[in-house]
Amino acid sequence: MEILSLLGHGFEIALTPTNLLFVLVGVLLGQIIGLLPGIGPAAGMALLLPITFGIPPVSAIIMLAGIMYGGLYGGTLTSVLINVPGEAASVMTAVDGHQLARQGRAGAALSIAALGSFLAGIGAVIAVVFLTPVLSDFALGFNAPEYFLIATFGIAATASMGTCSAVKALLVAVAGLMISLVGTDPLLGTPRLTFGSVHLLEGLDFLPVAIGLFGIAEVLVSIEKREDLEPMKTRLRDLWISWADWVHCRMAILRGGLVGFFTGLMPGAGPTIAALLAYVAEKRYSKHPERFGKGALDGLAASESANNSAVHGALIPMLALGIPGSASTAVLLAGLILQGIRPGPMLMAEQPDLVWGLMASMFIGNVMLLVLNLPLAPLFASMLRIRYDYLAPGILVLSLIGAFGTTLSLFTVGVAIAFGMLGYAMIKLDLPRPPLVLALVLAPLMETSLRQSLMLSQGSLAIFVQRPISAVLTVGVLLVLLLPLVRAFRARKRHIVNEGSL
Amino acid sequence: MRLATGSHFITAVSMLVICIGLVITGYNLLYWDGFAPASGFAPIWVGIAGILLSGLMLFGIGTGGFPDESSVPNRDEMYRVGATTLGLWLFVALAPVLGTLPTALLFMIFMLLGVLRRPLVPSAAAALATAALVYGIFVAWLKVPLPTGILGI
Repeated sequence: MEILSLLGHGFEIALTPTNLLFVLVGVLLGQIIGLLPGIGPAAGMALLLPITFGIPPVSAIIMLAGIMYGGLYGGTLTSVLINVPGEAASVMTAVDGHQLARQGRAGAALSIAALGSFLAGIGAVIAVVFLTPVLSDFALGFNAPEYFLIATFGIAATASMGTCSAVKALLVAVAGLMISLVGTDPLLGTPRLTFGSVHLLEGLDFLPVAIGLFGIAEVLVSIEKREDLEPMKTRLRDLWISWADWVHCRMAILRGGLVGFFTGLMPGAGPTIAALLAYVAEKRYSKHPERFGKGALDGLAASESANNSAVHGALIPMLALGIPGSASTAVLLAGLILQGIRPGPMLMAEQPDLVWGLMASMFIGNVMLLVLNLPLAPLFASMLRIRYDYLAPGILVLSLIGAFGTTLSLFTVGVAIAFGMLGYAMIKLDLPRPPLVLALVLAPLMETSLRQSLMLSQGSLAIFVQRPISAVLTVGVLLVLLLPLVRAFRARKRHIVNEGSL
Repeated sequence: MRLATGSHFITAVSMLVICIGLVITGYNLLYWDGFAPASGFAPIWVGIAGILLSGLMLFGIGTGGFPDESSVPNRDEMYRVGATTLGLWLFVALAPVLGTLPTALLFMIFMLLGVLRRPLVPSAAAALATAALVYGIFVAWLKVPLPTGILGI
């Protein structure tokens, strides 16, 4: 009952005209960012973070979260109409969505995607409402060793559960930790890796790094590819699904939502992996798996439900523990820090207006997105006709000026460009960027809590296994680090068996 | 050696060299201070982790464990990316001299006409719209003191 009353208070906050406006602005921007091929929600959030300086904290976070989940709705349109995912999590949508569009069923594909995203999103927000306070209360008993282990778990899991090689991802995470060491030692105040530069004494700010790695790098890749994309035409009257379609897809939405939510809880897994897992699971459940890849509405429903559910689920560890599990939640966390708010288990107690207002806003935002995506889908589809060439330089200008706005120094703009070049190189070399960003965000907590732990234990590592929670977390970290080895071993075994059978 | 395999090799070797440098830097800082780890503690251990992972990656490259997944741009693509990057650095250099808004306009025109080869009228409209957006958000609303330069804007 207490949770419902707090949620009611959250609705009072979210329904104020100002916050309602920021929910709308957030989901609208998210929808538009989702439409832009190559620019994902994390990039959009990083680019727009500087704008939040002039906005009250609750409104700012509500808007940023709106961009985060709105981006997934927007990505569907490009996937279905031009066969180019607006962001990575819509890859599976493009597989069947565009086939459906070619069969003249773009309307059904868009509406089932919007409906599935909405239902799974609302389900996930309900779970966020009830699970976040429980996890937050549990985490109040955490001390320095637990914080170190949970931050390590977050980074290790991001690396080992991602789609690319775990060694490469862990190496990228090490690079993130290295970058975070630049500046002044947080406990002793000694300059480290500053190379005598005054600009580096305060370390490298998260925002220009994120603007560079995501915003500038993704625009550089888009400028490099520069494809002419012609969207398919769709009519308003097509945007309704039949009762038979609904019956066919309702269990796929439920299953996709559940798979997405639990995947979203895992650090590093994120909406892309959630959509992929839900699609594969749905194919196994389907009575007609042969239709997958050729226009399966249930496959589309499962993957779209999963990616939206995952993005909401990822908020639980972020709000309850202050540990982001994805690049988008890392940027959201940076938004909190920029607003002077300390994330962690005390967040719910210290900032109830923000946390409950945010949760309530997600109910409202999902309703807004359903409205935007059903009757207004043709309007957004028409935006796809604007050539990306005219938008890309403008996005770069906004990135540079946004970076300047964080510290009012052109040095920061240079940092953003340098990280843009690094991000571009990482994309070309197939190196994952989320582990770097997550390591950068979690490194201060990781270093401080590790040093505090060793101070408490006078240098003994036994402190990480003495308390039950820390012992469990230590085992968790080791398991996550061993997971890629197990996967590699199983793949090798399968390979040998396959070769033997040939 | 194929280019993609070379790119993995370059990544691993670069990280190895940087991590060795990090360990040396950490070694020059205080490692332990009384009861607690000091400033050199984290650089040394992060560096060691990086050296181990770079070694593992090099071993993986040797045993064929890193398949070709990187992509190399062609000449036109390289030109566009290179010219854009040059334009970005020129933006940083020119903004304090010419002012941010005129530099933003010049950058837009350079990108749209010079790099992306778009027609003049829509390019000029896009450049003006971007400058107006920057002015509206950052100058008029957020009151960010953007560098004004010799033109005073």
